[in-house]
Amino acid sequence: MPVVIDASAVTVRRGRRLVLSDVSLAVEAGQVVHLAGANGSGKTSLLRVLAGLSAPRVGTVRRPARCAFVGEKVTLAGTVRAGEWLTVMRGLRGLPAADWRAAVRDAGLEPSVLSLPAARHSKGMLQRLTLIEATEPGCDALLLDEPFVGLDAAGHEWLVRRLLSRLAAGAAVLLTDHSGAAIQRLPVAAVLRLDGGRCTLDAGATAPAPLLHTTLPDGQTLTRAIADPSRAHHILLAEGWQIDDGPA
Amino acid sequence: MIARVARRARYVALLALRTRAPLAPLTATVLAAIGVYAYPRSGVGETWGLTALMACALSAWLVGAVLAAEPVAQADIATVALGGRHGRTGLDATLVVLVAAGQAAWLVSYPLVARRLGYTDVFVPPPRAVDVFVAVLAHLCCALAGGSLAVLFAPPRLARRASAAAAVMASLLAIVAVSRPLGALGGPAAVAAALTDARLHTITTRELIACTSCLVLATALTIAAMHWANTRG
Repeated sequence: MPVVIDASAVTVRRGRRLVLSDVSLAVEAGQVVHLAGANGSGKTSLLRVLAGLSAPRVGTVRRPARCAFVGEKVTLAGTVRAGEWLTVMRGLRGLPAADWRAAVRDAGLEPSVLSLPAARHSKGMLQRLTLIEATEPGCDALLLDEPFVGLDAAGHEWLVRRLLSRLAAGAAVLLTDHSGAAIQRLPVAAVLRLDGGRCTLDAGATAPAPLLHTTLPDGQTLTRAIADPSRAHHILLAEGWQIDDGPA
Repeated sequence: MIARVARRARYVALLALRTRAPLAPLTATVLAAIGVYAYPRSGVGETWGLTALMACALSAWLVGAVLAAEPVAQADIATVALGGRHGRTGLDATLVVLVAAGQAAWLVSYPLVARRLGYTDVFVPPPRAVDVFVAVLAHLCCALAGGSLAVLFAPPRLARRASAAAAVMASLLAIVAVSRPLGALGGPAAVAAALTDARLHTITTRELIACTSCLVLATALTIAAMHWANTRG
């Protein structure tokens, strides 16, 4: 599989503080990589360096694929209309026009949101809009900082569907996620744990968990990455789903 | 290349038009021209020298206002979409060039259009094509230097708007202060001095050197801005 992001011996400093030391990683097409670690461990700093927002003090970062980045705190200029922003961003990436009405409808939003200024959108709606823009076909390296935080349950399901379709098309996802939604729902190929400026591969998650697809009564598909299929019932019940085993 | 510049210009235009951030500096630019040419029988060199120096400060204000109107999260998304800091520098440069071209067009054309409309005593004696050429070059170079200065102190390098405004003001004053010892290499103030001292209907080497020093200053500021952003981003 082609490498979409390749970082070698990256060291990041903020003033005198050493944030990351000698971090190397390679993300291949079709992979989900989860960056884990405590608050302040350098997850966001690493994402920003990989995205090209800042340069490492030492080391190199290669980005052969077109990248998209969505930060944890999403804000757009309050008077900019969502539809205009999506269209202009697509142009800024040098990609052909997209059907934003269909993409917005798929995200569970009314197409009328496209004509509203950003100030009229809630935090969750703005997050969906920026995630729609980032996950529209064209970008093969998706760098997402806490993408599930701020989304409701339906938003989680939509984002999982969206990311799975991009992964199937050969995109790679590198994300941070404190909510646990990514580990439960996406085929995470590797968990990179940041601690004390160092990055280590979490041995417990070296193989991606198989995806379990369940059809809901309304026709939607529920997808979960569950390592032990015999525990699927327990996991879904713990999430609050009601399971009807049907007539015996 | 042209398509890429057009796409960047479209993003900048969306930001500027929707946020209305340029309203105050544009008003100041319009009033500056009206105020300068309210007095009849102005000399060509000294007046265009003055407005070129004003273009430096006004374009710094305009560029700074547009960049400050872009929320940090939105700027991050756009920067990554552009391919990182190099791409972002291209976007910032597009904004600076557009603003400089607009400033030069307005401040140089205002007296010429006024003359066409019958106000023939705006300039005495009237300018020739060579004077207009020098004026456009001077305004463009000064505005490019001013705009680049605003980029240097725009987010993510300086996050607070008041700090950025103070830094730009202090830098403009410093540029004027060091212009005398530097002579023709003194940037925008040297351009103003060169235009004032030049003989009418000529292009002098001093004017060209002063304009070149503005371009060198603008390039140095742009490179410094990119490096600073790489450490602050």
